[in-house]
Amino acid sequence: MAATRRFWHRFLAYRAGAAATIYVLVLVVIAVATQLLSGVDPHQLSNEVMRAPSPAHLLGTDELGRDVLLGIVYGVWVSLTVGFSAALAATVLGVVIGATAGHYGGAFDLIVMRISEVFQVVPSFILAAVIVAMSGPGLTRVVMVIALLAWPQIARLMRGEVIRIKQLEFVDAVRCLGVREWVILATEVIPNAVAPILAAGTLIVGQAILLEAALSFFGLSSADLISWGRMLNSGQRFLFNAWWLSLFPGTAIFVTVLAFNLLGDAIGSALNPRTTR
Amino acid sequence: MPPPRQNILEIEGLTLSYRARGAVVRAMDGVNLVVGDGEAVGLVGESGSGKSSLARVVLGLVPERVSRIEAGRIVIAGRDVTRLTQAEWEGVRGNPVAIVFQDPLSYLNPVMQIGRQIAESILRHTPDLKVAARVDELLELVRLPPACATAYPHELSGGMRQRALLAIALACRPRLLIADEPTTALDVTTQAEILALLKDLRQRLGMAMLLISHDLGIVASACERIYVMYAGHTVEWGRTQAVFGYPAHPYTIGLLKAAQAARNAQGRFATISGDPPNLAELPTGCPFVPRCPYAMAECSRAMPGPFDAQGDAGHTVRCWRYHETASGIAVARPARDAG
Amino acid sequence: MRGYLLSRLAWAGPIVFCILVINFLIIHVVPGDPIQALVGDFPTPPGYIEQIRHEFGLDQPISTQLGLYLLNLAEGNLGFSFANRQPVLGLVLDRARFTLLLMLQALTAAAILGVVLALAAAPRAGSLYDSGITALSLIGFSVPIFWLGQILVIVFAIKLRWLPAQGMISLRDTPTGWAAVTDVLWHLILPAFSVTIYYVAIVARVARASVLDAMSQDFVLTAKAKGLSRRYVLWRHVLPNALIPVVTVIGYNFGYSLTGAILVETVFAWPGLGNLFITSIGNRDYPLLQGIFLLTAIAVVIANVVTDVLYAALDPRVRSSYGRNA
Repeated sequence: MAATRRFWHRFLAYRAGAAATIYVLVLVVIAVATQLLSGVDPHQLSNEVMRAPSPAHLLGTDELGRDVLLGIVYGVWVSLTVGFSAALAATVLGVVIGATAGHYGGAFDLIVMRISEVFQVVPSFILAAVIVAMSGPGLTRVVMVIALLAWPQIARLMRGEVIRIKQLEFVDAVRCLGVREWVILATEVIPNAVAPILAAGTLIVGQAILLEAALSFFGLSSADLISWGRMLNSGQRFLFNAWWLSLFPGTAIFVTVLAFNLLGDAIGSALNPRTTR
Repeated sequence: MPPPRQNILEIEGLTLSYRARGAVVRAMDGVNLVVGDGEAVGLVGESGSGKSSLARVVLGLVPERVSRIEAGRIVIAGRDVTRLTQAEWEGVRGNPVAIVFQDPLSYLNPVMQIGRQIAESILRHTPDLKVAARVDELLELVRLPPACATAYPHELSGGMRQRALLAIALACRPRLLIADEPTTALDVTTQAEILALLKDLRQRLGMAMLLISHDLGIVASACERIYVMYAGHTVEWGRTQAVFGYPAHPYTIGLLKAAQAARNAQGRFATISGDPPNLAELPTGCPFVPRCPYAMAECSRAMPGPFDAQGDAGHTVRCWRYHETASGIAVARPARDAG
Repeated sequence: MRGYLLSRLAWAGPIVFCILVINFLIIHVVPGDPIQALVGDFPTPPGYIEQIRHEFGLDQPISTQLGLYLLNLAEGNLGFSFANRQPVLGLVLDRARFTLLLMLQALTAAAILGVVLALAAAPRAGSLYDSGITALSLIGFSVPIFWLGQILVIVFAIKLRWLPAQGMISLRDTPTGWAAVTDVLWHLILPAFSVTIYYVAIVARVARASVLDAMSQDFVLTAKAKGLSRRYVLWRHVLPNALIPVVTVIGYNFGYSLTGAILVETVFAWPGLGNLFITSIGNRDYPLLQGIFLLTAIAVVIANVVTDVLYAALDPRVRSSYGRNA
């Protein structure tokens, strides 16, 4: 299809977007590999405690003698799982709520929009931390909380699109032909809304990874899961003697979040018919 | 014995070009224009004829980076200002030359009270006066209620904004007031009011005025002398009665005919046949050739004149065939008249 | 102006109410006995639990409970922190001072730097500067702010020994008078910088766009035509117009900088809300955690309203559009 080809052409022209895609694909491979491969234990303790980077341990070891590089590699799984599931959940939630609100309008719409406004005003990290602290850590809970905080971004986009389409004349015409409302929604609204929602959803992946890292940094993750934020938490304790415990996991978070942000921007500008690069 | 009348503004052979996206556009080409002290002069032309560029270049307000004066000179009150720096221009702006722009809403600072915007002019040019009293005086002069001093631009009507803009200009005590389409953005009644105000103030304050408009009627009623501009060239000028009574340039003739037709057709908009000029692709020679019913081979070779139209003193025209056109406006039916 | 203010308060009211309800829901949605959420995991004196059960009507229907909860909040009763042996409200307000100090520093720095960068660069619309701003905001949007703090500590405090790594005042010799002020400022530099980076980027971007926009406006020509100097026109005509979007972007991002400050405090052992927050997580001091959320959320709402008021103060068009209708 010409449109598909045009999308890829524009997308790849945005060089940072292409680089980010490759990076994310590599991460996905790593994450899957760490789940499939057995025999390597990232929790493996050793006597080589708090070693600076060396050929034996490229990124050094932590206070229990665990290899930092191995930790970062195994930490990919948590970051990607949280990032993708939270973004997916937020997107589904946002699309459903936004479409319903835009479609029915009235009091329901007003209430939903007010609530979404509350979530946009409230400092989301603090709310997430309070909920996770009180309900106990766990990946599922973290994902749910992040999705709960992020859905308004999608809902607002979706609602705007539904309202825009509803006003178009041909929708009235189609309705007169007896086509059901939800069919119109599915066939007319969704294709138009895909671009901005995909872009916003990708940005949410980055936000979710960042939020999960912050929660883990505050000690709000289970101790048996290796995550980058948790590594920074122990890095904080040894800030004065072991710089590598902070530098490398943090770089991993930074580069990964950056990649998703670049990807979101690239998708947004590649799918947006109004941008010309 | 009265002293000989000086000229407040003299423009000689001025050529101004803009650079835009690699192309060079001549907004003004060999323009001549003189305004005597206390004189009311009109400048007429379609939009895009270079009128507004002329208004701005006289105050050094053309964008520096993209514009260049290629030839000619501007003399204001005896001083050559052609090559002034931006800092030196500050000594010319407001006094002796002030300007009133069109579209008064966008030309007023939206977040500053009207009185304050007038006071700025006073403080800049006559700081020793009692500013508040002088603001009131100026508001009265342009017939605005004193309460307008504390109003913001968006709180006023279009006509009131235009008066405020006029007060800002008058607060500089200019010897020459340039009015660039001062009534275009207004409705007909307000247009007449503003115009009457301009005429009245000019006489009372004894300042010269350069009134720029595309509306022949406005210019004819307010000005002693007229310049007609086409595609960056001043093509005809002289006393109002001469230029409008015995037009010698085919473009002026066309303008007058179109205005007359519009009047007769009761609102149906009449124009001169052909497309308005594209400044980026002007023909060599006279720019009016593509639309001119009198055009001949000679016209495409070189810009003619200026010639003395020989009817009235100072009536000047830039057309090779001015003899025929000047004598024959009412009777001649040009062969290629498409209208 | 009064109508405008009322309309903004009418906006803030329901939002604050929703925040209170969210807080109430957390107590009940969280697994386990709501009494634990209300009291925390710290040992309490005998009889206290019964007292709370009664105060919050835990044996009554949920709607009554919400009413009692709101009533308690209205009386300023946000609960008692047994870990700190203090009422939550006083404790949070006390620590908020230090967080505010950190944030104000960051806010001021961002505002000044952002505007200066924009003014300096606006006349020369260079693509290099544009790319710089874009890169800075992309980095600011992607970097874990607490990690940035760690790196700053490692580089500037530990390796280079230029700046203090931890705390708000020097512990060895406690200075007094002006020396104490400079001492605090000295300790502020690194944490404030961590909070500022994202802020500077967004402020600089907005300021640049709005300065360029204001400079191309027609009224600038009128001002110049009066004979006013270029500098005067820039300061008195361009800047007041250009500042309007800058002020709003600073105010609406108050929440970002608040979260940033809370995340960064831990790294620098800054004695504000962030530190209180993380120790409360360790102590399972739930009333205190909820109190921090409640007050920070309300602070953000207040910041939004203040921003709206500032916006109206700077732009008379906003004022009068409400003055007549509302």
